[in-house]
Amino acid sequence: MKEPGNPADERPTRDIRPAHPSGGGAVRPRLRIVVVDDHHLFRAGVRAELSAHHDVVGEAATPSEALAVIASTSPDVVLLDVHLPEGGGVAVLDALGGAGPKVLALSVSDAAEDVVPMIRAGALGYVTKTIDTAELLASVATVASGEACFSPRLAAFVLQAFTAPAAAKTPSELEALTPREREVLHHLARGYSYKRIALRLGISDRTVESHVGAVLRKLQLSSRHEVSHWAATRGLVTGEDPEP
Amino acid sequence: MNTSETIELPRPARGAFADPVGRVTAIAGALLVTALGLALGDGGATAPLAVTGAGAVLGLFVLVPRGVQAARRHPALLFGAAIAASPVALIAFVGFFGDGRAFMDLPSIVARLLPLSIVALAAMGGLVLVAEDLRVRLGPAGLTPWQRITGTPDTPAPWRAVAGLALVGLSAILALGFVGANGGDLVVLFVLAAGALMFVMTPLLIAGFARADRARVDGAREDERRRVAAHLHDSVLQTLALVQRQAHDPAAVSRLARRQEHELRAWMAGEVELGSETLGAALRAAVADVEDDEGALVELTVLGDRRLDRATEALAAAAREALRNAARHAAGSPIFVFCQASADGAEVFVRDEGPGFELSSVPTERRGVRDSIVGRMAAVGGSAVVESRFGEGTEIALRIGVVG
Repeated sequence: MKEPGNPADERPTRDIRPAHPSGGGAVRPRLRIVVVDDHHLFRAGVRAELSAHHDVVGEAATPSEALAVIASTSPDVVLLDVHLPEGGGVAVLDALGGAGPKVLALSVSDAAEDVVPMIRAGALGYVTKTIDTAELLASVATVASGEACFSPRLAAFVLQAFTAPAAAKTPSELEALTPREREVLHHLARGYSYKRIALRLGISDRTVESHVGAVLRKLQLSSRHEVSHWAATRGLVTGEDPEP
Repeated sequence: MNTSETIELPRPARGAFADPVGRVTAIAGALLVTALGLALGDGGATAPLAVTGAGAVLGLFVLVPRGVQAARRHPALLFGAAIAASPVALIAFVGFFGDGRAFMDLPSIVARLLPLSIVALAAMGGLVLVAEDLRVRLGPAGLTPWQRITGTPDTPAPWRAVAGLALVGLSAILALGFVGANGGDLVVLFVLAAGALMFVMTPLLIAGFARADRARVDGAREDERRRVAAHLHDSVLQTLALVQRQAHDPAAVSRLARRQEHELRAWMAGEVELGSETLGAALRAAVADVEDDEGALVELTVLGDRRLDRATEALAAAAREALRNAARHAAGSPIFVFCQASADGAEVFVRDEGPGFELSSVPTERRGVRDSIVGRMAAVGGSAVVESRFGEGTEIALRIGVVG
């Protein structure tokens, strides 16, 4: 029942990334990368995969090592494992506090409770460790450009984070997604690329990107709000809401 | 942890003279016996007194550290000691307020309370001996009741407990003799004895129960470890063996690894034990089968879940059919499955990035989609929407009930 394929069809990709005008086909600059994972073999594997295109300038196995390596090498992108000793990847993100390199989270876990906190703490994307080299390179490039790298699964988790009952009772208006943002996330979860979403919704690629960016900001803001709310209710912070 | 606790306990008898503490004790005992001999031999008063003092001091060298050690290990002993000393305070109190001459008559008060406090201290010592023995005896698990009484090479026979009981009994007899027929004092003495017993025994009993509890938890943990090990042996290790044997075939290795990953994740989610009774589990099984049979690459995301009933079973079966379709017609392209489920309904999207097709151009005799997917969904009051265009892949949206 299938017709022969349209040869003009773009190469299907498993991972969703923005169809960035500058991205397609251009030679990507070599990036300085730090790999943080407590499995030596995995670090070696990633180094081998990436070394043809980027410079792996440092490796670390624990959050404290990671912070030292990041401080001394100032990389462009950090590949950060979710499960690390001494507090996990979230500890690294918290210590970086939004400053420093772009972070791409890596995990064998596909549980939302492992992944969403990493995004909330400031990671720009999340990929599973079973990802193949081409996808990993594409994800690294996306994150390096400062864009969110939303795989279908991550989009689904984020959608869930915003629909969860816990989010409903939070006071801030900021935390609700607009119907359009919800629609974009839903399409991402179903595996559509930014370009396809733009076509389906009749908006530009750029607008899709900005919706995804807005979702990411809300997610990170909501976690910051939760923290300040938590601090305020325990008398740790007095005065006005530190939220911008 | 049991063993470490019992190891630090002083061991009686064996190698007593190799132990410096034992040697000091022996010398102290010898000195005291000498003093007794000198006193009986009708010498002067000074020689026996001096030797008694030396023996007592040496004895204290041993007894004080031991007492401190015991009190640190077993703080309740302090309560016991306080209770043992309380007759002194009690008698002093009664003597002072009950008798106006008490203040003038200090030597006679001392003479009255000294024997009683000595008796109380002896009783206290007896209780400590019994308690120490019980600690050792309750410690190691797995002893028969008979072994607990007679002892084993590691836990000697209860000589200390016997000596302790003898001391307690002797003290009781002495105390009764001292108090005489005075009913009120007898009651006080019994209350004191009962209190001391309670203070010493209650922590021991609690420790015993805690130990039994801990042993049970350890047992459960060990069972769990065995269960996990058995599972890993049957699954992961088997797969690793297969991977080694098929190292020349990357496709097979990749398939094995993915299959194993699915199984392990399902096992971790507890689906193997529960049986695949939820929509999520049914979808995972469908994805694993299609990946295996068709060599496709499927990314499945499930939000929420729902027990399998007639409608969700139809939904899962339709999704399986849609997956097979996608794997066959969009070979080489990744397939995305996204499921959202709640108590009110469920939706499943199966999307491929294959060549796509025009719905209107599907010949009527090849309507696998229409019958196996659309028909199935309609039969349970659900819906199936097929969306496809040339060059844009295909998406099949399956819904029952209402979602979010």
